[in-house]
Amino acid sequence: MTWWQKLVSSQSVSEQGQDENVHYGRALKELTGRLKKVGHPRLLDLGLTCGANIEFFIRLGCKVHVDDYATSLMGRPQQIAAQAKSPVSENSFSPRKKKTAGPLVNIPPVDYEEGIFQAVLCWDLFDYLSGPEAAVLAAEINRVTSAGGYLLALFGPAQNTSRRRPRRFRILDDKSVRAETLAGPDYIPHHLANRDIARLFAEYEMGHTVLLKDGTREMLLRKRRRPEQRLREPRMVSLV
Amino acid sequence: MWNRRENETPSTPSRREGRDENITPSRDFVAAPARAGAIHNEGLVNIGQSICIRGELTGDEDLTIEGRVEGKIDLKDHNLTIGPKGRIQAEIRAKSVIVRGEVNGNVHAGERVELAETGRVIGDIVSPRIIIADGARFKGSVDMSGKDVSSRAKQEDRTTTQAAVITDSLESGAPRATARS
Repeated sequence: MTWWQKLVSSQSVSEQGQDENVHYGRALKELTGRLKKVGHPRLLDLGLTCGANIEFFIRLGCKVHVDDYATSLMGRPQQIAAQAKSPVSENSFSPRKKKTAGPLVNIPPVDYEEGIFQAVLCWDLFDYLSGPEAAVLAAEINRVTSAGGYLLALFGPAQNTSRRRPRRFRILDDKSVRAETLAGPDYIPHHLANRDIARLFAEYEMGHTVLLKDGTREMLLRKRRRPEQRLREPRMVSLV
Repeated sequence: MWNRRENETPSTPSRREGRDENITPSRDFVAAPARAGAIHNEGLVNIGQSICIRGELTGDEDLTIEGRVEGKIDLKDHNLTIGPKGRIQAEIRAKSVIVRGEVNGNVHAGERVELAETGRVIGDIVSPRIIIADGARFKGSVDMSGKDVSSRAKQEDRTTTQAAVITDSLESGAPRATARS
């Protein structure tokens, strides 16, 4: 170990305990453990481009695809508050129904073929989306994820409705992630209740759910191999 | 006052015959833009902002591109730098590639690919080392010749990639951290 590696490692141990922006979620650790068992899995990162995250998953043996989808979403004009409050109905989440009544949905497609990814990271993307928009993105994620594939996502807390800036999530190690606030346009985060998430990902089963200190829910979901099974409402399994 | 008139250069050619040959344009009229054209300076070639090349671009020296290139770029064992104004729509092959502008195409590097904060790549990157700065935009896949990625990284490679991670952390003003696998 070189001298600067010793310096950095000693600093990181002490600073992680003081950094409020670092969260220790088990969902990421669970995901990395599962991916190690898959031979050369394909992973899609839909969050803001982060070199550290790419390197992390490449070291796991993944073939990493990056879409920078978050930047595309942030570039859209902020939706009207009325749309943000639009109810999440049963029809909104049916991936086969292309017609969605209500406000116009402006979500770019995920430009990949069906079922090619064994894991998808969408971080806090759903915080940027209203109900109908979330349904469209969820359908896209479902389409490109293979049967048995995983989805790692963060869903904001219900009590946090104040405007905030976008965040980049940087993986520090297999269980700790740092949220970095960026200098960009503020947005009003949208809240998805657990029952809404269950409807969005009806073809998924809950692998792991972690409730973080700030109320954010870190979830690891797995796409069923039998799509006709319905998903029960997710239950919290741990409190961090 | 008379001296000024004598030294003045007429803005339009004189109507008298033969007078044009004696007109020496002042420095104001030697309006060659500094970046127009390829400027060769001790092994470093710069393709200027106003240059657009369509086709296959090959060479045996380092190259910096500030203009537009469409087609293919093959520099074999040399370094390619895409400047902030560079717009590339081509397949790129080089020893190392630094992207500060826009690239729409696959990038193959023998040593490393560096994506600066202003850089944007739409295409796949194949390189043993990749450095992506915060703020860069990337859409595509990353291949670090990973037949056995987890065990491939030697001590020097681990040092370099950790340095890349630390560099990103320092640029963002965040506390230092290392990516531990």
